[in-house]
Amino acid sequence: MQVTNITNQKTASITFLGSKKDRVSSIFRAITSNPKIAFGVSVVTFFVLIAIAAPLLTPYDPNASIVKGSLPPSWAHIFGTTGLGQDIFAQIVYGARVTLMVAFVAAIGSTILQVVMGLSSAYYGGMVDEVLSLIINVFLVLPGLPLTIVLASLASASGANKNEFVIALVLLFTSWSYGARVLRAQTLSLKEREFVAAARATGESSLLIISSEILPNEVSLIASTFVGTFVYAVGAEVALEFLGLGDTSRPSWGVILYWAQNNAALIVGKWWQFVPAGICIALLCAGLTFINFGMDELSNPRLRVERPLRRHLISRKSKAVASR
Amino acid sequence: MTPNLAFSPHRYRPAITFFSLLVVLSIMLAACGGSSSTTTTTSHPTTLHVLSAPGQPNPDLFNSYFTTNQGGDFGAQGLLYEELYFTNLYTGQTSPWLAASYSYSSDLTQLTFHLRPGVKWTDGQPLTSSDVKFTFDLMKQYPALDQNSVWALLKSVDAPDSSTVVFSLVHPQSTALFRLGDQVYIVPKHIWANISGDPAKFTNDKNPIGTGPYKLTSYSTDLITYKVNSDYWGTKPQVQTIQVPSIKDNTTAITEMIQGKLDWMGTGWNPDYNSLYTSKDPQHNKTWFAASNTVMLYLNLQKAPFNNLNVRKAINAAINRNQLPQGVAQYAAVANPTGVIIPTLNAWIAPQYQSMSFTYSASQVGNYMQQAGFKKGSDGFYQNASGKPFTMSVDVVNGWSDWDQDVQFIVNDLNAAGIKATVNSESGFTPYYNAITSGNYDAAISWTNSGPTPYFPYQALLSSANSAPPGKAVVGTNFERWDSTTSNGFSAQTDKLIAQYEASSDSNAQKQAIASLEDIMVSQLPVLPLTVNVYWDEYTTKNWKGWPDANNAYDAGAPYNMPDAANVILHLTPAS
Amino acid sequence: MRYLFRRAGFYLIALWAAVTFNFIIPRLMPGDPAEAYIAKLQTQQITRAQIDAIRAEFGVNPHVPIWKQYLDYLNGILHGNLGISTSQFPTPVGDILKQSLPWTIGLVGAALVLSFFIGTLIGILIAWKRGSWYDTAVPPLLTFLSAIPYFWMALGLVYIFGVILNWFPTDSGYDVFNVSPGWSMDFIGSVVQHAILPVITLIIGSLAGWVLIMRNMMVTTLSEDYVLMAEAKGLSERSVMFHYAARNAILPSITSFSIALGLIVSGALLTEIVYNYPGIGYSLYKGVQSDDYALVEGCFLVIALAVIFANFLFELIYVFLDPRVRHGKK
Repeated sequence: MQVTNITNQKTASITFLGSKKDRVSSIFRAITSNPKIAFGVSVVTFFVLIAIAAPLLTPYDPNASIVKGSLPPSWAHIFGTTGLGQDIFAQIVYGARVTLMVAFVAAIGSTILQVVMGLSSAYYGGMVDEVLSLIINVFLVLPGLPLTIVLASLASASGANKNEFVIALVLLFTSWSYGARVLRAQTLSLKEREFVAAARATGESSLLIISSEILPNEVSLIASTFVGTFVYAVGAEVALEFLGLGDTSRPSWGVILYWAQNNAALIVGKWWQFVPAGICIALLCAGLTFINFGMDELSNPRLRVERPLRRHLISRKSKAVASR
Repeated sequence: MTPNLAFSPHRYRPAITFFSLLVVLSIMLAACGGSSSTTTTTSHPTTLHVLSAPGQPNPDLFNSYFTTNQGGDFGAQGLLYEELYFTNLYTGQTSPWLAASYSYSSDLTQLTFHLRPGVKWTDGQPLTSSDVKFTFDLMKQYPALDQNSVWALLKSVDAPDSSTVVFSLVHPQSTALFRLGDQVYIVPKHIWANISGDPAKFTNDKNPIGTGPYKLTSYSTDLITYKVNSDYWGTKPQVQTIQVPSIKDNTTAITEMIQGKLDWMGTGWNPDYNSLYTSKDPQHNKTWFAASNTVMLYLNLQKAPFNNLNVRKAINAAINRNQLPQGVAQYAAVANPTGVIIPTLNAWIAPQYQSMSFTYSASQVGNYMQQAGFKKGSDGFYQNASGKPFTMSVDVVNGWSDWDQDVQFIVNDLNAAGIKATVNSESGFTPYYNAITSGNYDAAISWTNSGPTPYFPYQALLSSANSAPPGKAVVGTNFERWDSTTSNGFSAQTDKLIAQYEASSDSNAQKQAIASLEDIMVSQLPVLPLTVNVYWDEYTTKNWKGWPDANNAYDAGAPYNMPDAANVILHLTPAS
Repeated sequence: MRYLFRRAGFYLIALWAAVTFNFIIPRLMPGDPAEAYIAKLQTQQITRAQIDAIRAEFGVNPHVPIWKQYLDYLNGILHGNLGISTSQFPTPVGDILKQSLPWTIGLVGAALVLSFFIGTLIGILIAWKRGSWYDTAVPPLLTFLSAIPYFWMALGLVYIFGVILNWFPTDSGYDVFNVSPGWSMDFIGSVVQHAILPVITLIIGSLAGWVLIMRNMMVTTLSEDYVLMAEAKGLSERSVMFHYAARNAILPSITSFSIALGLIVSGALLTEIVYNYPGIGYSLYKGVQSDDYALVEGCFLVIALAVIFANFLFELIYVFLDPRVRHGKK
């Protein structure tokens, strides 16, 4: 289960107005000051680097049968081999590309859709809002994973799932509604602010208002939902591949687990077919979640970890009051 | 005034909650201790646990018109309902069953059965010829029941008296004894004539009335139980009870075999069979994988240049068969170039082909391709005369790892020989099957049919009636679309030889027909034999003995072939 | 009340959307329901007449126009007729679902209730003890736990508790060989035994969600003035915590519940698949594997219906619990 920090939408956004240099340095400060974000970003960067550098990290082709059968980890094969004799470490580093790429594309597409739907529905109001809101809510209520499975099996039956972007599309379709709703709520509150009213009064076009007044104030929220969607996409993608609905001939983290399950690796005691892929997925998701939590903390000071001092103040205060 | 009440009762609330949860959990754990999770292996050998194939819950269809492959329950055929005349799938020998004797007319257009006297249905009524006639007529009335297409052979079924049945055939048909006598299971007219609705949907799970050695005691999607029929007309089986569980996948099935919960199953190949299964108890845990049919490389003869015999010869010479049976496909021995399964049907292979091996020669590839008008391009791959590169893809179902592996080897071999080839991994069985039946493929790996003689695979493979014009679906296994337009005139010969076999009751004439078919297989290469498929047969002798195996091959051992599986059960005796 | 009608109307629309989706999607699939069955036949001489007859058995009639098919389909659903399963012919899909649904409800219900209580309690505790080592250690640990893919955790539990330690059974809903379904102690005991690992998997996976929801709610609530007032009045920690803060914080917002339900449903799906637990999720999976589109449709419909219904139910409860909503203010 992928958890995003479900907070009240009344969070103050970090505004990124100001010069570009300020923006860059403020982002950098945000990343390094908060331990959660720092951890998360480093984990994600680690995996991205691994994915990019895959050919440098392993001499093996992830699809090639190198040895006979499934061997436990050894110096030649750090993570052991699959039932068909393929090197698991190679499958993990090359598979990282697939997993990351699909999830990334799904997250980007989903975020764009969220922004468009959420912002337009809130800004334009009236009938547009009614209709778009209805669509958002309907998608919200439909159960996500079953719908994803049904769509993915359609893709699989027609052979379309060979193209990894089809899976990204399926994930997009089922993940956009939550973020759209969050953005809509935020936009609704922003719409009433003075600077928006002022811009409207001066006759600026809606599009310009949205892009230059509202959007910049929602960047942190959009970033947060993007990360949340990314986590969901990774989890859902891995789940689909585990069920065999992805392209099982192309190694990715979920496909590794699919073959491990198919070959009953657990019952036979071949834990190395399961553990590395699972740990990578967990680390990646945890890292992304931490980024999200960290960003939440930055925007909502109340969530920050309190120093014990304040607690003592309260109890001293209550004792002082009580003893009167 | 009052200080912090350090001893407020509320303080304990979380503790109380946790404590009560703990209590609940421990009760549950105690319940664990009660019922053990290991099996009660008091192997009182009266019960046989059999699994015909893992994967689905037991369907609710005790309808003898459906094999287990077609969604029927294990035992509906063979255990509840029986055939007229048994043909042993492995040895080809025939023996009386519900019919005591049979006779063909001299021109093989009429097959007469004389029923065994004294056979009763489990409700006490006698078996008569009207039951047999009804069984067949019902298939004519409801074609969905006739999934073996017996009415393609039949003109009519008559019951001149209560113990005689006469089948009038459309053409002379020596295979009618097998197709009508062994493959159709007789149902009682007095019950089935009165069922309401579509007989194809008749679940028949409430006290089905049959002639067979077992009666249905209970049915659930998780477990079927049969008990022996004490009024059975034949020798009483020693297996008193048969239980058929539904097991969700292969690995669970293997685990249950090891734990002693299963005696017999037909689960597909697992490269870890040795470590997983046989080595756990080598004295009792056994497997017997006998050849069942030949796996072929089909080439789409309706697509150029596969209709060119020289191209087919070239591809044939490029593949190294000897390296195919390894790794995940260890069990699959190299086939015989005639496509007849060895060693089971050795007697049918013409002497000159008995020890024939496949050509594997790069120079031969070059010769044939040249004769076909192809030249190697600068990249080392063949091009046709006008410079267009020759490429081909080989279809396989993604996930059938033994065939995945072998197709990869084949593609590697072809590329090494200069023929540009790729693997086309179909995402599932259905799209793959669609592709090969509709001719949307270049080359594909696939099975052929099995049967007690080579006629059955050859007929399905080569009969031009099974072929179809481009775009339409073929039937049988004529995936290569061998007919008058693609066979260079040879399909007329193969059709004639097939008809010759059907028209001769004399086994020598039949062997001759098969031998001539083998000639065409070897010289014309309508398809390229690769390896053999096997019958999946895993069993343990812990509780029961009398199983067929390589040394005592009295029948095919896989539990999913009826009526042979029933035959095996009737041979079992308690191990202790 | 007008609010309720509006919400009911919305849920009806959502229902209609789910049903229509269900109708459209299988018809986008290549081939037809009989295709997979026919592909399995592989018999020697099956003629085209047979193939047509079999297609008719599965109710495939290409000559009926689409709009009529849609109306027939809606009509069928209202009467509980969801078609015939091709992988378990001739059992109607409705019968298969009737059998699987209780298992899933049991699993999800038990996991939901248990994880709600455990998670909420933990959430309250760590929210109260802000700044202590609980607060620093537990949320990150729980976050990590929740980031682990559900099924991977399930597999890990299968391995540790089932294969290595052999404490619990790891397959099926009950012991098929020794026990038969019925209201006997044996059967119930077997069911409980087989449910332990799947329920634990679900609890671990969803625990983080409840804990964090509760913690954040508590955090927001704890800074409210009335809590400060209660503290100032000298009430005990526990009293303030449970009677003031938690009671208000425990109202999960509708969105949170809806998402939590969605997550637990998907978790249950994956858990059932790993443990071969005979619920709806498992039927859905088997349907997908065997190209049994009628079954897939049916499962999706039932799941969507259940989720929509649960959401509506919870909104009803929320309306009664939160006076602000009742009076039209949000």
